Amino acid sequence: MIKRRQFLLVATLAMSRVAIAQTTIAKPRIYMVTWRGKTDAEAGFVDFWKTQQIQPTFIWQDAAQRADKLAAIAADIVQTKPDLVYAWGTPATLGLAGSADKPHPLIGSVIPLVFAIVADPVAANLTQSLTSHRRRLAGVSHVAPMATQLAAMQSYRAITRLGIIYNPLEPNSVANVSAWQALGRAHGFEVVSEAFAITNNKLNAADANVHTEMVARLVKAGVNWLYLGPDSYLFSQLASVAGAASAHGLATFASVESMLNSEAPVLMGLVSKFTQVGQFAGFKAAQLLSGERDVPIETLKRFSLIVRLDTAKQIGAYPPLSLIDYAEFRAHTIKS
Amino acid sequence: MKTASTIKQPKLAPLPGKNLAVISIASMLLMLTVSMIIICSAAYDYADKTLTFEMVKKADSVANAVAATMNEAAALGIPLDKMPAVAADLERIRAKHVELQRISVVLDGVQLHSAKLRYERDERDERDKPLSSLTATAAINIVSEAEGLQRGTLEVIVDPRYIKRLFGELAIDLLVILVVSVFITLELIYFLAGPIVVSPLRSLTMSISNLTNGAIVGAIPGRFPGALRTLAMSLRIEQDSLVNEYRAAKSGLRKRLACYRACPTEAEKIALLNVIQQLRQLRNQFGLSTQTARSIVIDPSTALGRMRAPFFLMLLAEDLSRSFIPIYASTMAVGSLSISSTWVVGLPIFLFMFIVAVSQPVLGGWSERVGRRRAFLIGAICAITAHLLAAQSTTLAGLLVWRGLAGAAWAIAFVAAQGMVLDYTDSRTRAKGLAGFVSIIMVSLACGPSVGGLLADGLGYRATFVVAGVLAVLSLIVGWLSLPQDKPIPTRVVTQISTPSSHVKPHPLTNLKFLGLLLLAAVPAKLILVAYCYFLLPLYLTASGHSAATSGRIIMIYSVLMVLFVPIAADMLDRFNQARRVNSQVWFVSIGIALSGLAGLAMLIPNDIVAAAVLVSILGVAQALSITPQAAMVPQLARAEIAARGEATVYGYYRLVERIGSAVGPLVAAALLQWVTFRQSFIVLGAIVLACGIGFALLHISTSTSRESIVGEHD
Repeated sequence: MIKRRQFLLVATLAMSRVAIAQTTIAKPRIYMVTWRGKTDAEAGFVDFWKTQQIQPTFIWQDAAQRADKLAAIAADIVQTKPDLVYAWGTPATLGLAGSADKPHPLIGSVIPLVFAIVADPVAANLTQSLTSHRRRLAGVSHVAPMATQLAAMQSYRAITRLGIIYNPLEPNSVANVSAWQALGRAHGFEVVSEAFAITNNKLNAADANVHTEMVARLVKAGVNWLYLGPDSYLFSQLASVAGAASAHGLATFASVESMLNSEAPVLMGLVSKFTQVGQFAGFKAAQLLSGERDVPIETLKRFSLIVRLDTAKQIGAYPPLSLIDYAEFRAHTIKS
Repeated sequence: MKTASTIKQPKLAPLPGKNLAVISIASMLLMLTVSMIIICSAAYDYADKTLTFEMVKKADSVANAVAATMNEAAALGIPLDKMPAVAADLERIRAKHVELQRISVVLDGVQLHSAKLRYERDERDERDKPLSSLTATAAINIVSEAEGLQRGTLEVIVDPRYIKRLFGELAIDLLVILVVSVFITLELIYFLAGPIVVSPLRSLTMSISNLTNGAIVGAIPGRFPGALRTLAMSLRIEQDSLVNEYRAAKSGLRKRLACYRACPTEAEKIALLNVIQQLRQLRNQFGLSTQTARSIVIDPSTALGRMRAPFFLMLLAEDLSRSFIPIYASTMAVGSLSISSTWVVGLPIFLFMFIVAVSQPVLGGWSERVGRRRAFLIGAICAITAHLLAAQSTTLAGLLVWRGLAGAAWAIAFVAAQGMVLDYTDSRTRAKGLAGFVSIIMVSLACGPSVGGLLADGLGYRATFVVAGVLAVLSLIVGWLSLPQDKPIPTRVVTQISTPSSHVKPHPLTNLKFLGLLLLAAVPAKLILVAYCYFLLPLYLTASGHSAATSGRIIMIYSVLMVLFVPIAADMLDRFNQARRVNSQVWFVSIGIALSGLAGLAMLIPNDIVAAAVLVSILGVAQALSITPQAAMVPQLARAEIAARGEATVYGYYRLVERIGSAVGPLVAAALLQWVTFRQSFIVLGAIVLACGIGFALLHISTSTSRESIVGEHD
């Protein structure tokens, strides 16, 4: 059965048929650039077009998490002149369209670009404004507003101290820690942060023991929630970080859906589903293709509260009664 | 020859069958009351059956919803004993439904989790309904780590005290409806019986009484309905034939006199002179004239009776919106004005009061110039416009304009009606006339807000304003048909006093005695009334956890007591005045004001509601004692000023200063609240007013020579 939030999205997307009817391009070519292979976001993006009259041709390229590969992809884009470029994530989008103060001469201006799964486009300096950026660039952020994430966490258990583990080399993650500290001051809780170690401006080699120690320090500092921000490096180290947290009985909160889908024992998250983010990005792509300017960069209006019951059982922190009707429970149903 | 007006006015004879009329009205009211009680009890019984059932049904749906959630949790394998803050979550659900007393999770007769309403006093009332009849249950699955899946029960219990409170409120609502319907029926009886039966009967009684007392040529009004007209006409025929006979006798005598003058004998002369003397005696005795009087003197009580219905309708129209005007104002668009919500809700009332206060002195003279009837009708037209357009208002500015116009309309009607009382009464009957005037205001105040509240609940605010507009239209029509055209013949000594020889017109506010009446009686009376009833009491009761409706009902006690006691007090005053033993007015005012102050002591009673009810009751009786003598003292204390400036202007000043007391009341109370508690505020304010009452008595004791100031006018 379709849930209410899904219905809203479907309704919004259905309206798009009218909007893109004006397009002059009969069979647009869309250049799809992924960062670490295809995800549900791309699946949602492609799904969106299945409901439209116009059927684009997709050209696929994967950057394989390598920034240097992006230059070659950009050159190929300039050469092949697609009608639209799709980029997944902050690094790919920045690598192709350039930053707000140093934009690519063609991508994001002559050739429109739509992005998905960019946590904070302003903090990433992709644009200075979400609504009037004057570029042929639009996209969808997948992270819920911080106050909403905070309310979700508090509804599960009150925060005494919030711990954050982050990559100090990712400007997004650093900005995120500052924002949480400000929110903590406003709501009367302390934020304790642990940065991944760096040497000569490069991250040290990943070490599960180091991660365990980081978590142990947080627990010792009295942290009762560990916040897992939209941090690419953190995601790559999620298994050891979340594993250590689970071993200490520390509740973990994910800001992106992929963390909850992984094997790592994350407790809960308030997330945008990648499929829906991709569908919404498809809608924005249609707007760009129809020649609209200043298409706003947005986030979804509804989020999914996901609870992993297997993790809840592991750390002995079951959800309260009030969440049963709202949350989506995942993983294994616990049989006593 | 003496004229009819120079003949000593007979004391108004009691209306024939007056007791019968009183008995008829009393039996009508009794029948109405009994039938209303029967209807109300039936409604109460019906509510008793359905309300409890509905409450339990609601509890049942809550039980099912919570059980579904708990079953879902069990299906997910979440152990209930490991679930955090279950009781707190149950309490959140319970608190959302005011009618629920308890939600419990029960397993094998043992309560695992429970959320329970905490009473202030924990003992259970013996008269409470048995809880089993108020309990809804639902089966739930419970998972525990030790025992696995078990079957438990979720119990949701309706709060018996909530039901009891609901019934209490329902009973009071029905009582309010009962009181209101009795009052409105009484007004309807006055209105219907007045012009059709009572007024003609009273006029005829007066005419017959005049005829009996010798005023044979006095005019007999004849515009009566039905048999009374026939009676009046036959009286007129008798009167005319008597006058004709007198005329014939007089002219016959004149002829005989001419004849006897020609050839008089001493004996015939004496006989003739005797006849002339006898005829003169007859003329003097019966006020005979060769012409019948054509001008009809309007009976004061008839005139006041005619004013009652239109004035009541006009006040009722205004009072309908009293209970919801702040809420209605809060729905208005404020536009670009940056104005806080407290001001938005208060502004329409403030503007209304302000216009009523400042317009009093101006309107007094104006209404005297244009005539009471015309002034009242203009007021009614303003009220129709104001109410109907207030119903259309969407912006605060618009609403303020129409509320301002409503204030002007109310003030015009008030001044015109008061002017009519002053025109048709003298010092003997003034207190009674003013008592009638005050009781109309009080009946409207008792009925208007409660009826308005019911209408607003059923039809909405805008429709209630339309109803108010319709009432104002009725007031215009009834006023047009019934208000007297003529001004009464001045009978008061005060109007015959020549203006002072100097050209300086004395200002009423320079008269110390009058100023004393204003500052020691009029201002404190209104100040304590507004501060207690419209400011402290609603705030105090709300702060003690009672609804706004409760304070509305308690304030209604004040209006009802005023309606009942104002005529009684006026009657008592009348009797004291006739006994001429003491300066009754002064004592009534002093005692009334002092008693108003003493009402504050009711706050020493520990129970909130009882304290408030006692306070309002004492205040009602106290104000009933002082309100009419206070207004009736104006012409006694400001005789020279009235002679110089007119009665209406002096009364205008009196009402203006009195209303300043109303405006200052909330400010004084608010200032007191800054320093002391609610209860202390009541008592301190009471003490101030008590001191004013004593001060007023002392001011007059020194100069009171028992009767001079009271009876001087009509001696």
